[in-house]
Amino acid sequence: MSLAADFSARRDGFALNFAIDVEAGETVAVVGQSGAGKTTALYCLAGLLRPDRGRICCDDHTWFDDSSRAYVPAHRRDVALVFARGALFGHMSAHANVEFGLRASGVAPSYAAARARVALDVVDGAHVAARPASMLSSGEVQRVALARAVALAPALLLLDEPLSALDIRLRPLVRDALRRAIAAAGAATVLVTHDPAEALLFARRFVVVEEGRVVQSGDIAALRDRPATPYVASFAGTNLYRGQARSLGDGSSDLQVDGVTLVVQGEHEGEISVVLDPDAVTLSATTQTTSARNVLHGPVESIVHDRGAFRVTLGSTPPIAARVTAHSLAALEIAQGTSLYATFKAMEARVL
Amino acid sequence: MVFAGLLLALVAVALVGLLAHRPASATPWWFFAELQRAVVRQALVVSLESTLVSAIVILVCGTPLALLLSRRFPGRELLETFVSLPVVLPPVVAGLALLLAFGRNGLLGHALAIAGIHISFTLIAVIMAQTLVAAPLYVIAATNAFQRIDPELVDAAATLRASFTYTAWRVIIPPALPALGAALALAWARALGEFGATITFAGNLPGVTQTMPIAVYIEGQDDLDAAVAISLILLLVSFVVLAGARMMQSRVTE
Repeated sequence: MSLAADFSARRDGFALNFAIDVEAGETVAVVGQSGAGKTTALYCLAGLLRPDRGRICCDDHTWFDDSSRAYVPAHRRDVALVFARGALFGHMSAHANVEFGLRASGVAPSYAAARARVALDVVDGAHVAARPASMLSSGEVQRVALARAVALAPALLLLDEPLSALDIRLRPLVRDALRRAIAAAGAATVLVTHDPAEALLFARRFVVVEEGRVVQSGDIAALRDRPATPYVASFAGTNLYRGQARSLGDGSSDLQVDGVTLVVQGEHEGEISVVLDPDAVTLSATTQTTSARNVLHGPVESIVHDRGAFRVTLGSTPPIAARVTAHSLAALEIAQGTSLYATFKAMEARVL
Repeated sequence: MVFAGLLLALVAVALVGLLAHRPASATPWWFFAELQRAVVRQALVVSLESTLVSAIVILVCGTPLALLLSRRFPGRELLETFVSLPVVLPPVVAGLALLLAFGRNGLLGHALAIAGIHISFTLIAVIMAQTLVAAPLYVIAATNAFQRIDPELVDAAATLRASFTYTAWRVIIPPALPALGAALALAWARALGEFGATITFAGNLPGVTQTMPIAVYIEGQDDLDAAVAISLILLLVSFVVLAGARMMQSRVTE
């Protein structure tokens, strides 16, 4: 049981090139900013949108293949799609929603009802079973939507930003339901999200999409080690700078990034990319004379949890992320908008 | 405001004219006496039979057509224009067109006549005329109702193993039911009032093709009381249908 897809598609003048492989029981996250083509990719996998070229195969079934003109429409694919806003049928009860897919596929009513109850239990939704879907809260809607997908026991489970429409307060609860739903379905799972934390929570492998194409895929170590673009770098929690290098003749080089000159180790000429680990960046409230040759200055833009510490991103030119401990965060009184200096040694920037 | 008042006065005075009619016999029960007369009863029966069948045909054929029109496909606009054409076409022209197509010497009528089937000047002709003229009202309103259904719900149903037919039954039609009811009521009222296409294609045979509006026109020539009695029924039906449709429409907008 697995998904293998490689295709190009077009929707409303937007072109997408996409490739993904998912093993059964594995979750792969498709990440990218909104408008990158994530949902279009998901619609092609679901069978709601027909690609122009390529192949989509799931298990032994070919769902799309332009060379043999094979195309299986959505309702004949062993797939379930959870929409960002649930897309529940408002005129039916929660239970009828969960049952819907089984009834549509001709399963005996009593068996369908039993499986729907089991699926609702998975997401802790048994108490809302009899309620009309239009009367459910947003958190309940999303849990019922998850149960509706789980009830089908699909070979491929597609999740389109399943937590994004929810209030922050509701997310932990639905996140737990999502975790249980993914485990219960046991399917090849594709999670589309723009939230790095959500992606890291559920997936080990990532497909990063930018402007309609896959810029990189792999596990987090690979993305952190050799980020293909600044977006991948920020997703993976590291820094990537790309610019014109000029050798200084002393074993180091100038690197022009966004009109600012950085210094990196080694003799380089022409366009290069360097990766800078946030652990190697020091933050300070004032500018100091140190051995570090690179100093950037700007206000704090974001502070996020990162592997037991905090990653602080400055809105400097170019932007820079530093990983600091909770202690430093408190000592420097770091908050959103605090003006800080970030310094790093030339030898810490790793040339790709 | 004066002009708005003029328009209101036009409607009001016309209605009062009908309601204020005092019959020659002048008994209080003249209305019910008129209903006992063969010509009135026959027209009532013909109208009820024909419009009932027309409404069923419109519902059964118009609903799938509206489902089709509510989806996006190349040529949709053209098809919608084609379907709506009878709304603006003068009914007499529609009747003439039917006559030329299905009449004794018509395009299809000739072949049908050889097969022993005669349509013109029968109850079937009445039904065809009513359906042609009234169906677009239902189809257009039903299409609008279906288009208000969130397309994401249709997509969701497709990813839940539902064929389009199953999706239509369980997802698209149920929330649209009040709107469909209102649309069908309006189409039925239109069929009940159909005159021009019917008299052209189906003629004026009492007890066979003479519907209520045709009876009003024919009887109005020499027996005004019968014409007024039928008209009052039609007025009552129109009022009830309009009020009912409005109530259902307000339920839709809620």
